[in-house]
Amino acid sequence: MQDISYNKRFEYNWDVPFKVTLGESYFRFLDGLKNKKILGNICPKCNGLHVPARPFCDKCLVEITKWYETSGIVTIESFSVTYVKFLGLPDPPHITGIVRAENAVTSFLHQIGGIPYDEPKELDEKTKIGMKLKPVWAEKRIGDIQDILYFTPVDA
Amino acid sequence: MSNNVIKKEWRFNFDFSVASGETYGRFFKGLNDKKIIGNICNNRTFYPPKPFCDKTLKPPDAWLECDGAGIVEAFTICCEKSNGVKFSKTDKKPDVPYVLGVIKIKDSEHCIIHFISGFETKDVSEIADKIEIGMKVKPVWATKREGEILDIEYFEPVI
Ligand SMILES: [Zn+2]
Repeated sequence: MQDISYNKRFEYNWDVPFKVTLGESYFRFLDGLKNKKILGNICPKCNGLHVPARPFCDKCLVEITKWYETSGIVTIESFSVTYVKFLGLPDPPHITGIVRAENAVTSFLHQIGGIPYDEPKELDEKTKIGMKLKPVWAEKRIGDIQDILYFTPVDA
Repeated sequence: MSNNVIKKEWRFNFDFSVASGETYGRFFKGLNDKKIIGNICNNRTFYPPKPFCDKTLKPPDAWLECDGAGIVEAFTICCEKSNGVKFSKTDKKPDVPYVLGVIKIKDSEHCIIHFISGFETKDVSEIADKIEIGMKVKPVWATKREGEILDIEYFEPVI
């Protein structure tokens, strides 16, 4: 049995501003979002499509230079429905998904939205791995991953 | 190329709290009384104490107490002011240069991380000359103690 009389609460704050320099590939990818384009690039050696575009292929270790504009349609690889409010994330319920563009060898994280429900719990069932999604664009786009507000079912 | 997206800026700002539980609570209460509390399981000692032994997976056998003298296992000299990580209940960010040490208290199986100071110089290479792995250190106690980790202001070399 714990002796809780020793228990004590410690309050902390971590406030960490930071910067990331994008480099050319990620810059071009984000810049494409401004024009409602989801850009990838293709490895000259293995032909692997990388979305988001990357500076080099992590399998072949060669520079990727061939650019490719995807249709913007992605497939759900995996997802998680969040029912509690979390700092910096949308109001619950919201869905975080790992999505794959076309036949890309990489996938990426984004929000999934626009799936109708009566009770939040239904989202567990109504969201399906393999579901096809399309981007919903922000009105004002600045070259940021949030220029895509979220991905929504193609037939919505 | 427009410049506004070459560099992205972010900010993580987290408020959080941690409840100590009995084991660490005893350790922090000990600091208030200038004592380092530990515990022992099958001749393996732990400073700070552990709620359970990582070998037997059982609660340790007994509480221990010592003066906190130990040795430096590893260290780093920090020359950049920390930008946002603050200590419990304080806005204190250490002035540079400061030394963070991994310190093994007495014969403990594990170490703690704390400041090493008391070098009487702010010159980085002079500090580097004065500190070495295996060096003996002891705690310097804060005058006003509140049962928290900064009740030890820092560890200083034992001369
Ligand atoms: Zn490749």
